[in-house]
Amino acid sequence: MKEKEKNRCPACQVYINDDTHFCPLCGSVLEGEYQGVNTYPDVKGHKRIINLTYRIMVFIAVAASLLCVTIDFMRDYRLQWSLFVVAASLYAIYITTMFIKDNKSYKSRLFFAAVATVLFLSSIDYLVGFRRWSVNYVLPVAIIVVELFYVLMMALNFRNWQSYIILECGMVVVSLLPIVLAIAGISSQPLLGYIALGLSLFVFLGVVIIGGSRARAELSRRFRV
Amino acid sequence: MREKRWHTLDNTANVFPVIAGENLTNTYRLSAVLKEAIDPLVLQKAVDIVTPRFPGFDVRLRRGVFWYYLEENGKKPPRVREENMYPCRLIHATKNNSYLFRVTYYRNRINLSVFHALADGFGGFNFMKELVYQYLRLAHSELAEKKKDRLAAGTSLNMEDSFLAHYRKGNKSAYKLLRSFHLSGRRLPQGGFGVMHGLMDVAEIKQVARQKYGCSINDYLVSCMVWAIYKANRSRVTGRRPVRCAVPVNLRPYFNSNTTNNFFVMISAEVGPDTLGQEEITFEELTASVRDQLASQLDKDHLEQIFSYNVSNEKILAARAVPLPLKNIAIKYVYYKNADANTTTVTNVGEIKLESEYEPYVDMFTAYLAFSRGQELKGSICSYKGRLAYSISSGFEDTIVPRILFRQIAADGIDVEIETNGVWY
Ligand SMILES: [Zn+2]
Ligand SMILES: [Zn+2]
Repeated sequence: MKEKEKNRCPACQVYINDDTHFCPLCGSVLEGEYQGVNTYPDVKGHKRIINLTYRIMVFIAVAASLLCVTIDFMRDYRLQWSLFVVAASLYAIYITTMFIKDNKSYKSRLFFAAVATVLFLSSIDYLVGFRRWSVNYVLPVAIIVVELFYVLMMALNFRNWQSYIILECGMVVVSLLPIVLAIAGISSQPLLGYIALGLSLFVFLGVVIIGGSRARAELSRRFRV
Repeated sequence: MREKRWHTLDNTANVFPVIAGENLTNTYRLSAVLKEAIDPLVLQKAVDIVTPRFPGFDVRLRRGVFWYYLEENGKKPPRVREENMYPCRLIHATKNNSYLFRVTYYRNRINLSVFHALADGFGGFNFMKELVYQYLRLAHSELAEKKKDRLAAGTSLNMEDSFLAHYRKGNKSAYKLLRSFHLSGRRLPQGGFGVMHGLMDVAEIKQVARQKYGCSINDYLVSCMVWAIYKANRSRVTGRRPVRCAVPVNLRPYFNSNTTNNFFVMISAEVGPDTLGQEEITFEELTASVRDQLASQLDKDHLEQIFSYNVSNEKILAARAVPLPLKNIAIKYVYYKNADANTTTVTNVGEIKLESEYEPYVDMFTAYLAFSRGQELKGSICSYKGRLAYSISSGFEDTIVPRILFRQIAADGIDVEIETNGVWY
């Protein structure tokens, strides 16, 4: 073997270019006093700070819920106010998880955040005696907010407005929910529901009609068999 | 405004979005080591110029009702970052401006990470070379004077699905459901990704492979991997679960294609206690066996048979009309059933050739695959200007397999220089 200006492992008979005194293969001390160079960054300490924060948050939420349920239950063997804490904890965990850990697109994050918010507020409504404000107002308002947000995103994301067509189509279906609830007698104020449905229909038709051939192309891509 | 460009995923690529996850990123990394420190602003400019010129890379992944597809992206090309994470991390379809490749740099090195659904090693290097050319033209005015600011001759923009173009109807499956030995051991902490490059002279390996073992460089290097795994786990490798090494074969030369999409199939070589019908096996015997096993699978008919069955299946309309979520379940099932067949993979992307004007600026190219669940150690081979990099990517805390592997190569009289990413110190 010819002599190189590199450190060498006497056991493995290989040269080690890294900045180290030990062989990464066998741990032997290297021969040679040359200065090696590390060609990769040191990433060992870099990771998982977000992860730790997240875990601490989950721990606090779970611990607070358990503590409150216990205290609540010990007082009169019934669960009352602690259920708010449980609902709020679940809601907080879900929202944080979605924003920190998931890799969903902004479109679906917004949608699922709205669903979670409606469910959370409905559970509060239910716990305080179901005065129907959640189904009467929160649900249709949430639909309107999401719909307006999508319209805004379509305008901002002008190049890709087509990709919202399927979403708009889905929003029309979702907007039927307040109407169904009104017919079933679960909600008592259908007006906002009709406004939400009207808005969804209006936006969907607008996108399809104004979009023309490019809207149809998007639908055919999406439905290609 | 013109209509959006879009295309379907090729036959192999359909699997990748379905199975992709943190443990199975299906990402590979190509690196170019220059003779100068990388200037991030110049690199960003090069990415901004080159990306829109490659319709196969200027895409984002979309989910249809029945299939995934790739659609023109058109957003600002991905932002160049200094490397500060482990290599080959998952490329999320919703981050990175929705691009399915990432460009990072560290000191003299440019890294291109590619999600495998976009392209295989050939398609990746096709893009990588243009990126390097563009970078060098921007960084060196004397080069910009010599070379025009356009794609080099020989760069391919062909995106045909060559599987579809060359499959033969009515083929029976060439895959057998096989089992293999799987490596085990303690993992690197915190999802660590270990990579070790063994750098050698092509001429030295060629001489050893030819004269000592009567085989090709590729046969020899695959044999070293199989040997290392076999020797490290001799008592645990059984006849039912031999060490089986998958070797991807680039199909382009066989079918005269220059597509930048995926176009490869896997063949394999295995060694177990029953392979030669004898208890002890020497490295010479193992190399001869690996050589013969690989050679027997390397004919056009056989290669065609391997992918024709898959493509024929994909053509059945009843199967095509299954909604994507159900299809994904089926694809996952088949994938995991087949994943048990191989212990490891050794891929050889071959020799990288640059136009002569650019050669003096580039020191080396390397390539490696992300290791994956069930195959937590893989090898990749790449050579440039007479130097070869044998890169091992591994999730294991120990280095037993690379130790035996590189010691074998060194014992054969080849000078080996080792570089690692530091996880084993
Ligand atoms: Zn050593
Ligand atoms: Zn210069």
